[in-house]
Amino acid sequence: MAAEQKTQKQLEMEKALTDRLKAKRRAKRGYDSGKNSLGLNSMMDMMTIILVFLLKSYGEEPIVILPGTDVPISVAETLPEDMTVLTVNKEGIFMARERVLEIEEGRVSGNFKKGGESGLIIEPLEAKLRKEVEKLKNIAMTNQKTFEGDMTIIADQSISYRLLVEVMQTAIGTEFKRFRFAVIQGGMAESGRYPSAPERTN
Amino acid sequence: MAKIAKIQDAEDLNLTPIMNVVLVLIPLMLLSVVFMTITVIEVTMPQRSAGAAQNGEPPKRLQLFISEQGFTVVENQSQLPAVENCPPGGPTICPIKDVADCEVKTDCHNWRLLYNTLLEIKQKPEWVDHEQIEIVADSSVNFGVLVKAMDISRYQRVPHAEGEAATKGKLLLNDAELNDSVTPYTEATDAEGNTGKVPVAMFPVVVLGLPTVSQ
Repeated sequence: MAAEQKTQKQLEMEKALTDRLKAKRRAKRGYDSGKNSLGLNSMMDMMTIILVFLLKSYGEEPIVILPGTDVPISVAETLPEDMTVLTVNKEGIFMARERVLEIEEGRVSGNFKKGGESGLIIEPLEAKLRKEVEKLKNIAMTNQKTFEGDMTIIADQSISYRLLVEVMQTAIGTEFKRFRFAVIQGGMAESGRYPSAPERTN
Repeated sequence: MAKIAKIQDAEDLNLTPIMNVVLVLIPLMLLSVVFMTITVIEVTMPQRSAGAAQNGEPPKRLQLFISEQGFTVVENQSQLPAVENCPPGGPTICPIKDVADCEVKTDCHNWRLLYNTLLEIKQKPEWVDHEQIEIVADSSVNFGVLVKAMDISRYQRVPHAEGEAATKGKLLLNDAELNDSVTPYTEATDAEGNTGKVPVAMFPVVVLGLPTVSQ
């Protein structure tokens, strides 16, 4: 019985010793249950790269398409440059995110045009563009350059030709000469359509 | 012993706040990034001061009128007659389907015939060096149709399979061939003496005219 008890005690002691050794080994390897932590270094590296890439692409686009503007697709390859940008969509005419004029049912009311309904010059837009031209001329003069009169028009695919011409004629009256239509690059099959257009039926 | 352990704990940087900021910034920027390439089409409008030609000879004019009834091509003031299967006396090229019924207006016009008609004009000796096309549309024609008309008339095209070898455009046989077509490129030297590849032009200079009244 005494021999048996001894062995029991011995066994308990041995177990306690092995447990302590195991715990020590675990602690050495850094597996200690209290201090478990995820290896986040690789994830942090990845995140930093993505963040830098996104920050770069966020700032380099010279043209920003306003929400609600269905820009048509085209096969054109010329890249845009930084210049005066006008957006014409179903809701209005915008200059640098600021609404110049509201559009109702796809046309500008005769009250805002020189010569009423049949007129081609949109008065509020003309006033805004005149101020812009004055500013651009001053900038050009300071940089010893000449004012070129370039303008980029971002238009919704549903805008009527009449409205487009009214906007361009107003701009011509304020010394803009060359126009560029912003489009989304694509293939000939999609040309003239817009990214969210319903599937072709024929 | 306890003091040493405390100092060792303090050495680890607490990255949690940075991680939080980064995790918010990434979805925010991903949402705002547009994975589309924006390009531009250059156009001009006739200036009000533009006068008539100096010498007696009238300038060569190629005009394209767009309406819901189709395309009318006018070559030096004379309108091209309606093509086969289109009502005589009407526009040169009639639409495939009634444009008023189309949700996407560009799907109803006969773009292949327009391309072939313009290319046939370009291939005539008197038009080879001509670069300008005047596009005039009905007031109601939408911007999408105008963009497609400019795509069709600005550069020559060839079927996809011949894209690499071709040096000039070809007549296209069906709509699938037009949809798959590509622009051939040729070597060209610019004003500064740089040599590079440029697309083969048809009528690359687009002048937009004042709108005609809808019928």
